[in-house]
Amino acid sequence: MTDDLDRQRVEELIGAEAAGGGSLRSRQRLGLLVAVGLAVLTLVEYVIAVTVDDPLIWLLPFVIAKGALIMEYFMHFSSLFGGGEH
Amino acid sequence: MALTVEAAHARAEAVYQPRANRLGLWIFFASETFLFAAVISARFVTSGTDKPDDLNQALALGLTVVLLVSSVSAYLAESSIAADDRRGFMAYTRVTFVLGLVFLGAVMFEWREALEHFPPETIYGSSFFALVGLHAFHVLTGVLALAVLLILGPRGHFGAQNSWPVEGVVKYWHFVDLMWVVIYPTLYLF
Repeated sequence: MTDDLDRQRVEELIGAEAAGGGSLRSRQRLGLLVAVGLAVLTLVEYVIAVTVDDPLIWLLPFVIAKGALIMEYFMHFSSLFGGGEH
Repeated sequence: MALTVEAAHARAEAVYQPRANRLGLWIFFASETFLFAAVISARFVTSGTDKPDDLNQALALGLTVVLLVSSVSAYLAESSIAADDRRGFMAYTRVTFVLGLVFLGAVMFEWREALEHFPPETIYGSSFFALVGLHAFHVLTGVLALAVLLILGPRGHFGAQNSWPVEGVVKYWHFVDLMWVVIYPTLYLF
């Protein structure tokens, strides 16, 4: 019985770590902040694309920044290496 | 003593199994990334950064917004189940599922337009349909996985102690979003 509870607790902690750690409210706040960041980057990306000729070089940093935000905050990439506390 | 050894095994399994699952999923993402990279590089090899003037930029921006919002709702679904909030999990999963369907519907609409302006026989058209088609197929499989979560969720299959299936599906959904983050400028903006 004690072992089952112990295992359940470990599984809960692992699940919470996978979701980024912290309380539900703080995770929700973080998710919305990341969403705002992604929206702003997408908007800037669009504006650059319609105003600059041959915008490839100008857009690359924005693509990388958006990808990094998704990988780190939504996919919790660093938790793969034992981190993951956001 | 035997009980202690069993407890140690149970604890080790509880700690290492999810990490092994995650590592396996990331290896799968790496292999998928190679597939997308091959088709993306084909677009630049065949037509450089040229793109037709008939591209529906407003619709593409709309598709991007829909997918980014669906990623946020998927993240909130995962956070909810990790906190054992099953109602929140079901609500956010439903939103993600609907946004996935909206994305697929919009892609079908876009294809109807694209077939008139740059059919698959053209150089740009071949890259466009291959890349958007490959991505839409991944969205479709993601939507099917979300449907499984929606069917099993109310039956109590997921909770704070069993959140791996949700985590796996949600991470896959984010991966599909991540690929679109690269595909969108590749086809519409560069």
